[in-house]
Amino acid sequence: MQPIRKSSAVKDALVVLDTQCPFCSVQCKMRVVKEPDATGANRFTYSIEGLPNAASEGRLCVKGRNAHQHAVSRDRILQPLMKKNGQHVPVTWEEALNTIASSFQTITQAHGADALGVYGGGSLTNETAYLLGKFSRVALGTRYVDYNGRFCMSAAASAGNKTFGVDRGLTCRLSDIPLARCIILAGTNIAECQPTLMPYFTKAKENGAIIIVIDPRITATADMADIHLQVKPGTDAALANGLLKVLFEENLLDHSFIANRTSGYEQLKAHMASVLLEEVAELTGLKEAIIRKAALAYGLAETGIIFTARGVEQQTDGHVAVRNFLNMVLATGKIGKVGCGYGAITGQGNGQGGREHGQKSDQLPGYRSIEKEEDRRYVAGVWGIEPDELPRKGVSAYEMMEFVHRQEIRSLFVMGSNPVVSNPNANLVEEALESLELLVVADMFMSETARMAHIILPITAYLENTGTLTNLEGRVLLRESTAAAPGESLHDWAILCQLAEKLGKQHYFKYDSAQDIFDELRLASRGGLADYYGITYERLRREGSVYWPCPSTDEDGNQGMMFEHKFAHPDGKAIFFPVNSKLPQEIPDERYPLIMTNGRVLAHYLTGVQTHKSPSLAARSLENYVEMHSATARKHRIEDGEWVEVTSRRGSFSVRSRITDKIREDTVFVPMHWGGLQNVNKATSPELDPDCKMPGFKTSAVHIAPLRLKSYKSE
Amino acid sequence: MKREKLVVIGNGMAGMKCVEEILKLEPHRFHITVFGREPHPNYNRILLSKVLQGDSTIDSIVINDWSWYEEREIKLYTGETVVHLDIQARQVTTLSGIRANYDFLIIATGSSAFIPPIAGIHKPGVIAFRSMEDCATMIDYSKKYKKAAVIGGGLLGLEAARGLLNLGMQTEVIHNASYLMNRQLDAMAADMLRRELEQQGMRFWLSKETESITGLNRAKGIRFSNGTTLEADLIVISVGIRPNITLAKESGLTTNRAIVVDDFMRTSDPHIYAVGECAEHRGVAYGLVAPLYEQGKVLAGSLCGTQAAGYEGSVPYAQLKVSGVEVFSVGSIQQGEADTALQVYDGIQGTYKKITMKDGKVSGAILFGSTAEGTTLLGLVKRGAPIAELAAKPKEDQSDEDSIAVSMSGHETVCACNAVTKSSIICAVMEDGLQTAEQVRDRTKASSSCGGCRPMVEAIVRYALRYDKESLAPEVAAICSCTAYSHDMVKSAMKSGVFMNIQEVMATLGWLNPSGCPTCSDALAYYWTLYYPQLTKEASAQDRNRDSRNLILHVPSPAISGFNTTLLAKHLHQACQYLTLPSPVKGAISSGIHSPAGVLVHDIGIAGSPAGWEIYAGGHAEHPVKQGQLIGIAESDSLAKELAIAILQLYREQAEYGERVWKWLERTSIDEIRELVLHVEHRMDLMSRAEAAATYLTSERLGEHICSQ
Ligand SMILES: Cc1cc2nc3c(=O)[nH]c(=O)nc-3n(C[C@H](O)[C@H](O)[C@H](O)COP(=O)(O)OP(=O)(O)OC[C@H]3O[C@@H](n4cnc5c(N)ncnc54)[C@H](O)[C@@H]3O)c2cc1C
Ligand code: SF4
Repeated sequence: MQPIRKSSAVKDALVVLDTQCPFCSVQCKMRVVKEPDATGANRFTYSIEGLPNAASEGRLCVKGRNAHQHAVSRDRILQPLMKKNGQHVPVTWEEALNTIASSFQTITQAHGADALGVYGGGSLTNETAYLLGKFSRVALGTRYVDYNGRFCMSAAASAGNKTFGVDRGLTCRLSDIPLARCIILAGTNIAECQPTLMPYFTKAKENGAIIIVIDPRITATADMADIHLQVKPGTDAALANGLLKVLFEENLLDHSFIANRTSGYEQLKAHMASVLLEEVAELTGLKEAIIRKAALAYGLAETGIIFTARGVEQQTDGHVAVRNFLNMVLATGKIGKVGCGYGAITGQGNGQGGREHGQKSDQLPGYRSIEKEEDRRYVAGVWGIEPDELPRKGVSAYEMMEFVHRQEIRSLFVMGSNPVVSNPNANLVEEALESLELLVVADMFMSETARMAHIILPITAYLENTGTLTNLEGRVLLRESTAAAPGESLHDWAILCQLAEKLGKQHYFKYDSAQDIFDELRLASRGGLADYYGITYERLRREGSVYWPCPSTDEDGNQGMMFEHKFAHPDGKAIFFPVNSKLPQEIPDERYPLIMTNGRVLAHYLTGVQTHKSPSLAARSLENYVEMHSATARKHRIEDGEWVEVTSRRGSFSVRSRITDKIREDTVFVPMHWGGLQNVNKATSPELDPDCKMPGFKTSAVHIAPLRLKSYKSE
Repeated sequence: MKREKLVVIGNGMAGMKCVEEILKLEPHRFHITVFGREPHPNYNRILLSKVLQGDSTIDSIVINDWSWYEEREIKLYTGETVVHLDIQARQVTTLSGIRANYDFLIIATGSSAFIPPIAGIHKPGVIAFRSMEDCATMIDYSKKYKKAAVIGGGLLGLEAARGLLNLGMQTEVIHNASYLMNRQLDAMAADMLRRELEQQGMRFWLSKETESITGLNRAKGIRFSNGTTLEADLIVISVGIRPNITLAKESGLTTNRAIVVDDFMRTSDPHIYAVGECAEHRGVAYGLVAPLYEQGKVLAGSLCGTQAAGYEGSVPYAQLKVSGVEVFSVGSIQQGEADTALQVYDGIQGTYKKITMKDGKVSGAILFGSTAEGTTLLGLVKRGAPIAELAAKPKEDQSDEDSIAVSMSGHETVCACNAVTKSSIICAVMEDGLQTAEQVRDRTKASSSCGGCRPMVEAIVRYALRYDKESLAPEVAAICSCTAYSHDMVKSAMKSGVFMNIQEVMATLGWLNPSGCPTCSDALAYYWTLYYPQLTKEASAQDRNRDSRNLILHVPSPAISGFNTTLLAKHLHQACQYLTLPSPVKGAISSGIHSPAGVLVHDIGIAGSPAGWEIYAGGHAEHPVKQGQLIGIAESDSLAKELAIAILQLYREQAEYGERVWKWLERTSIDEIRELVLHVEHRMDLMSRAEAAATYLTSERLGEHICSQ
């Protein structure tokens, strides 16, 4: 369509906002130009343009192109709301904050500070994530703070920490991808989740790389694969064993790397003796030959990178499954060199930065541990409190919901998340939240969780709120935001400061800007694993982006590549870890004969609170669906497009069917972006990975039936 | 062998093109000397318009820079006007006294702007548009003054005017004919052009003769022959060109309108050739570059003795270089010269195409809005192709993508990342003249993100380049034989104009049958209710079958469920009962799968579902059977009602009279409809327009239409 031409008088009213797309971990830079509409009726048209930057190279996907729509939507909450007689009514900030503060104090007096819970999100800026952790521990004094990133990154993060001694999304740079000769994409659908990264992979392919995709579905990413391993959901750890087995058999190992840079090889070797390829083939539903082919491709390639994402990680054995892929990386020595490495592809906008600075229950800023005395001492020093005053570690996100359910936590402060939709076992979570004495939700929209809240605090959107975000590579970017806050909405960090003041803790929260917070974060992270000390706003403005770790404010040339000479464990070595092949957490049986897995679609983000508000994105994906193979549909007497009830041991939901041949016959797939009756999490399992507390979202045994065969329940 | 001496008079586009061609054939045959009046090396005169419009810089339009001449050992005299030519002595002399002898001489003096004999025309502030200097003058003036006028609404005048606008001047265009570019366009295309340019800010004075230029020491304005005046500080004259032939004429060469040459570009003197705008071949002196370049080639061949076939004349074509406007014209297009073979107007895309024929052969064409087809048409006109070729299809040899590219519908998304549809890629190719998938990527963003759709984009680009526009966009037919206008044309005329009644619409649009026939009167009556709901009394009398075009809702007795169908039906009925519709709309409301009502085969279908109310549109139970498409989901009754009304209003506005909902939906993009009705503000707009119409359309008739079973 041709843009409508405007007279020059109108042109003067242009507003140009340079910002970052909030909808995934690539953090594409973009320019939003706002112009008065031709009708002049105080309306605006927006044009969006990608801006060049190192990761996205000026590209944008459909989400980025329409990301402004929710921010300028009429549905924004513009005033604090308080539930009175069952209705949300506008109140002043004064009233809202006073009520919260006094309620916090009452609960603390009666039940102790640990009865207060704080729940954050992976889309918050580094500054806010940092401050939320500090707020919980210093202003509230509770140990119970965690965030939705548990559902996103915890398996890969903990695996990276255990194996390498540190977790940064990519151990190499995006620019290494085209230089890799073999790329394994395990459980990641980049084409739909991070579309603007695809050219890195197509370039690799043009350069002759072999691309191996591990996914139960033939996704748009799998379409580009040379080898597609269409595994049974939940058997990735076993598959990695099979791949390792072949590497061992063919002796495609880098023995000098193993000897000099790793420990635990002997155990792995011993373990490999017990792995049988036939068994792996049986477990994963793959042919031995194709496993062998993939292993050879990776083993023989001079350079290679393995990527994992939620497909591997959102399993109850997600942590060990990732570690098993890391075993492959170490055994072949494909790390710390150009064109080599491992990457966990973060989903949320600030999934990476959000987990480094202390909104996770066991962490302090800079990836420090809340249980390590010297870390406690250091951070307490920066915060000006005694180390003893720092609470100890709390519990993970979903466990917090169980604590709420048991009424051990009596008040929950939610910022930047929609836990009632995003947690597994949604029915229990809903019950839990209903039982709270005080539920505060800071959000832009009336999310499903906000609807249940006693108090809703309106916060600013990405176009309005300045801060830094760390992209999937570990590259820190500054999002400067100049748009005015609409209505009475406040920046999330400003709300925390004001609440701290009401709680009499104002002298710990004296900031005038996001930059002030960042400067303190720099200090608090200094010397930690995720050291941001050398990164300043000035420098980000000048250089565009800076990789962590960055201990010095001097510009250093060789950024981004990790583990060139040593790993982050004290002895400098990486650790092998033998992993047993296991059956998936839940095995289909007669009653629940199918495996359900879930994931994202191109047009939506998280639980859709933002993207459903964008008409252009909503128009592209109106409603949820369950994808199934045509043979499966025939067997269950389901027609394309009809309503289907999906039931698991936990609960059920109804969505329309979508019949395709691009999925395994034993598997069905449901996107995760819808709440209410279409919420896939009504049926997912709350079982957690013992190592990282990641719920096993991706594998649930289910039963499907056409709704028309069921008698209609009246409501 | 001693090199022969070749002298060229005129350092312009045709002359230098010819020299380039000579060097290609025989780089060492001649000692070449070039005299040029302008102080610059050869530059691309065509692009002066772009320089003026700010799209190019003076430096960037140089074709042959100084070193080009040097490297080829060409002696170049710039700023030297040849004032004397001695045919006998084979010698030229310049104003400053430089002499040069030649074995062969090429005259390529081009032409100058024609300056009509108008009183005051030589006052400062009146200039032509021909050279870099003229360009510089205009830029200078724009810094000092605000008001400009261009005399002459032809190609050049309009390009100058656009440039002046870009320079921030208020620009008036004076034209003596009744429509713009009257040599190249017909009234219809010219009118579309005028409207487009008016939107860009130009103002026009048509059918105006300039009598004099006012102002004492410098131009201050224009007086027309009817006595009216117009203020202007800068006046650009662009009323035609005159070949520069004085030199040739004085030396005794045969001249007519220009220097007469034969098919090998020879003048009446065997040692002298002429090329370019100053040459007249078979009675024609051309004023556009393409023919002149052809001549240059022929001349080079004749000089080097390699030319077997002579120059046979060119079919000139014109293309307007004003950004945002595409106009193309070729061949005979004037009435009387040729007959119309095909005339297509697309009100949605804003495109127009006319192809003329003579004796069964393609003889000319006009394109407006999209000129991608220009080259194809030019080819047809040049060849004098039989009219039947217009319908010819290219031959089949296609890849998978190619065949998908053909069969996929225009609204289908090709690039999901950037939400680019097939039709936007096609538009990019046809309307913006893009040629490659890269250009399309840069323009539309298609394939710029993940790149997965790249092969598809390439295929569609190929397809768009290959096919005629007809095969892509259906020809828009006239409403009936009473008029040449299509539904869309009439709608846009009625929407943008101000009319008092339907008769006035017909009169203004030149209805052939002044009272109309039932077909067009019904359509007009409906459109009248759409655009002039406040003046509908008279129209509703004319809208004879209005009763049959209402919303009829089918609501089976509700099943036990959370969905109150009767209430929703009542609300919808209240809101829509008086709304006129393009064709009858049957709706069905069902509480859910256990209470089937044929929701999917009604024009509008609403059904309760686990996700809330689902709103469908475009179902059809008779031949051809169509399944309704999901437009939106509503969690509340009020949203369901809003969505249904918004869809109906959109249908009222976008459909043609008589067009069923499913047909409308098929030619519109479902994503676009969803975007519009899901967008709160757009939805509110649609609702309030529906409401306003309903208020006006209050009528005595129409009973209850809810037929509960
Ligand atoms: C603003 C503008 C836009 C145009 N746009 C288009 C277009 O889009 N498409 C198109 O096809 N055509 C266009 N034209 C027309 C095109 O530029 C001319 O047809 C073409 O330049 C003619 O080439 P030529 O060599 O015959 O004449 P010129 O390019 O005019 O060259 C003749 C040269 O000879 C010099 N000269 C004249 N007399 C003497 C002498 N006695 N001694 C020495 N030197 C002398 C002149 O100063 C001039 O430099 C445009 C023209 C203008 C002014
Ligand atoms: S969603 Fe991700 S890939 Fe798409 S524009 Fe936003 S940041 Fe870029």
